[in-house]
Amino acid sequence: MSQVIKVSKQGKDVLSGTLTPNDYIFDSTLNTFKIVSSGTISGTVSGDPSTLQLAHNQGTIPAVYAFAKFPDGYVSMPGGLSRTGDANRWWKVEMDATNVYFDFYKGTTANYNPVVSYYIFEAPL
Amino acid sequence: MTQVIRVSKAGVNVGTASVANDFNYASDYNTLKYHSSGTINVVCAGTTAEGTVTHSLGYTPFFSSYSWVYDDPSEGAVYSMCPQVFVDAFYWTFVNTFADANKLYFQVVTNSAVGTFPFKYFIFRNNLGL
Repeated sequence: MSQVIKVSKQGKDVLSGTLTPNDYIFDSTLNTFKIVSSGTISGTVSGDPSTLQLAHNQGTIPAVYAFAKFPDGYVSMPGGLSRTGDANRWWKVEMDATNVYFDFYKGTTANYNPVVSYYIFEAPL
Repeated sequence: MTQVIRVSKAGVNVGTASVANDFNYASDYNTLKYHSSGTINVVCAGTTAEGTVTHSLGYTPFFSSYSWVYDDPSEGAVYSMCPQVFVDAFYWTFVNTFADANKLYFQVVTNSAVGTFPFKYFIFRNNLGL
């Protein structure tokens, strides 16, 4: 018999046999979105684009999510721009089987130094 | 010795499995952990509008958000991941979500005020370290 580990949310009977995946805090029969690597990377944006490059060492093209902190102090999602200030400052994330590329666009004002927080997941694309 | 909890996928021997994708769960790897989720409606009466949600974590968390941008409410709810741009012949809207150590900011920039923009969001406990 297969052994399972299940932890239900408060107020849900884990033994009822009627629970749905969202009723569990944890269910070992369902795959989890595992983070295999995370960290921060920073650099200077002086062109359109300027690329911060990170070797991910996964051997496949991994799922990646990231966030960037702009000089105004606010954190933006991939494809987003700076919340305040130069509206032409924006960024995106690309990846291949070797690297993750964080492409930043300078906009019309001075160079700037963003900081990226990245998460690389085990699921290959 | 370091203790671990590992649950392999069906048909995979947990004792010999070696890569992350062999496991349904392995305590070797971090996962996203929920803090809160919800919906906020941003009312746009001009060409820009912003709503906020306070998370009070004291650090900038991992988050995701989805918004419903429409020019015809009769189409029903259709959400896309933020940030997103909606453009048609006479109308454009850009929606974005930002974060800091205290709040999430849900921003709408448009060329024509069309009412209320719903955002659905997920905030995780994972600290971005930014």
